[in-house]
Amino acid sequence: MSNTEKNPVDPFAGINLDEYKASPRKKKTAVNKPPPDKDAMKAIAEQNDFQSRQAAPKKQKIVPKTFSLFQEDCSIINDVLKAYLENPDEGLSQPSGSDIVRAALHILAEKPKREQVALVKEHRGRGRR
Amino acid sequence: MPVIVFASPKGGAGKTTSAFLLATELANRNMNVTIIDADPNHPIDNWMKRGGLTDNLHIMTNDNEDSILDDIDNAANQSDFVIVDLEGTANIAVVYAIASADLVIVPSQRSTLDAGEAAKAFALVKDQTRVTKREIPVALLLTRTSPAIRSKGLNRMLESLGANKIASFIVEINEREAFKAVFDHTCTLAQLEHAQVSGLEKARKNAAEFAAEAIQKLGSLQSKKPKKVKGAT
Repeated sequence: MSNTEKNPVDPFAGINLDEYKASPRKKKTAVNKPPPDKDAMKAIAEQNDFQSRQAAPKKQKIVPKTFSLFQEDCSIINDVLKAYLENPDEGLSQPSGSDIVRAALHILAEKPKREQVALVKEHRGRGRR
Repeated sequence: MPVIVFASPKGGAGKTTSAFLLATELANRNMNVTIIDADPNHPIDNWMKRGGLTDNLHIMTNDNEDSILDDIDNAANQSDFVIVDLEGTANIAVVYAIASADLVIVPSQRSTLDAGEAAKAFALVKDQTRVTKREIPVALLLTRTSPAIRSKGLNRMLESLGANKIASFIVEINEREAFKAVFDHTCTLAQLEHAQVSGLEKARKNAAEFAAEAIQKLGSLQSKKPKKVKGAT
């Protein structure tokens, strides 16, 4: 065994670890770190094929808004469609039920506000009156 | 206080072992050290839960990439050194931790696969330099090398590192039984006893030399003025 092995030199000889001792008043870092720009970091990460391992947020279920019509309302639409088909002079392709509802909505929109409210009240669905 | 990040997108490169050796070596020298164990398997946290204990060493876990920056900041305010051990995959927590680092250590075994993954880590650090607008020091650490035999493959790898101007540690972490025994016996190298493992002194010397070189690298970088990169305001 060599002399050095008997009395090995401490690899930390010449290193002053006290320089790194945290002082509550003095914070020492190697460089001034600017605040992180997470979006830019993410973009770079994705370019380098570094992916997030967090679970993707659950997609919110989209609840479609539906409009319910009663039999008497549907009858109005059917009657209008029928009338349209019976009058081939119009020369247009067959309209849809939505076209008729849109037309009715435009008529409703032309009414004064108070009358609109009254009409809605009058035609409100069962159980909501 | 200085943040030292161990990063490599490859598992089994030696991140946890080298992070643990550095942290316990510094803690043994009366430094207040926090390890942030961000590997989802939490090998260092498990070491503590199984009874691992040493003065001056604190262990935190991190499972959330969104909070890793805050965890590093908090630890840095309370410790002399913060050591971050990351998961061996290409995930965003690695990117965030690198952005906070005062020194990034990329452990790599002597294999083409490891070297390729280490190159990815180097490329990432280079890109992060642009984003953070400051130079992030990075060095390659060869791990699990044979202390006795220097293979032709290792020589080729070292030549290639030199040719590509990749900063690397002079000290290598050798393949040593004692480095595994610290996890088997839930202790530190300093706490291991000669009866428990052979080659303990050599392992201690290896760990101390590695830790000293890491601190020298940090010191040489700290003495320099922060070098702002192009695009910095």
